[in-house]
Amino acid sequence: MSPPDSDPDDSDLVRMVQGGDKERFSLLIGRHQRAVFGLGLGFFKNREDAADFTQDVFLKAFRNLSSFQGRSKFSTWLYRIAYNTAINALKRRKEYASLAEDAELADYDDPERQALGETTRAAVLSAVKDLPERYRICVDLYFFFGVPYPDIETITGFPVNTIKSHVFRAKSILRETLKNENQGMRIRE
Amino acid sequence: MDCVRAMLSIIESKEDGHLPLRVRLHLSHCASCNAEYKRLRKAIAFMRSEYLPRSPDLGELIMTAIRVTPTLEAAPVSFRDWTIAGIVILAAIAIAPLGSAFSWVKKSFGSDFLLPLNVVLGLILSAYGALFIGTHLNEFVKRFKLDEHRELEQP
Repeated sequence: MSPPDSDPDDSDLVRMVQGGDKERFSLLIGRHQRAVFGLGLGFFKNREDAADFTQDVFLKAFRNLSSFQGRSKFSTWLYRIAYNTAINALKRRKEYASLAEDAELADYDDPERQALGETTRAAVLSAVKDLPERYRICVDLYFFFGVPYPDIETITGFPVNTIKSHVFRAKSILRETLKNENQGMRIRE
Repeated sequence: MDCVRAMLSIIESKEDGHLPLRVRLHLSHCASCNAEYKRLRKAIAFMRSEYLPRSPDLGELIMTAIRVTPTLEAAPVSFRDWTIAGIVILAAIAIAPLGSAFSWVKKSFGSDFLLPLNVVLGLILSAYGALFIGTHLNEFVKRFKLDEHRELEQP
């Protein structure tokens, strides 16, 4: 375990909050609010609802923190709360729009990064366009949130092989798109 | 290993940098696959760092609500542990008549002890059931979908 005041990891912070140090919960909020807000935006498609959703998720997480036993990562447990909250709020419609659809990518000075932004967005959109909406979150969780397959299964409840096949297809499309982009650049040069 | 198989294996692998030895060997002598592998990793690293939308800072707002939330509920014994304990209690009751102690008591007191014994066992099971349900009310509601009726009844 790391010393309390160095840079405690999530599990240390959870133990501190469970021990009564409520203020430490603000560090957990700081670390994960962007991801929870991103999930909210995917489900609710507007920033106000996503912000309300983010508050709701963190309050639920705090109220239920005593039942968190550390069997999974805190982030996985938190995303599962977020996923269930969103599904219940949407009356089990499970609609989800990929973050790639409305991503506000920065204007990069570096043309290579600019091109990377456009290429990755095109690839993800192409990968998710034929997917049922409820499975789109698997692709986002893998690519944008960096969540491994077993954790995506824990969060969404979809079978791991289903998740793998959707991600595999998306990665293949990404690879093809990058390859074509690279060949196009060579021709232009 | 040919280029097609190497790329398939790369796509199937996780982004933690661990690739099968045969793939790594292939990448060491195939400049084109190596460049493609690096492009793919770079793209995925880019997606993980750039795509999440900026969130408004909600920390203080959430902490204000949390500060007025009384205290954390005491950690309950998990649903699974309660279920296991229940199975152990039932198994113990079921095999008790087969034990030598039970035979000795029956021989010494006849059938007179059966009524008080059953009363005690009934009390134990009732207390167990009441505590189990009482401490996991929300979980029972969710598992057995008891809230669906309530939702339907609400206007």
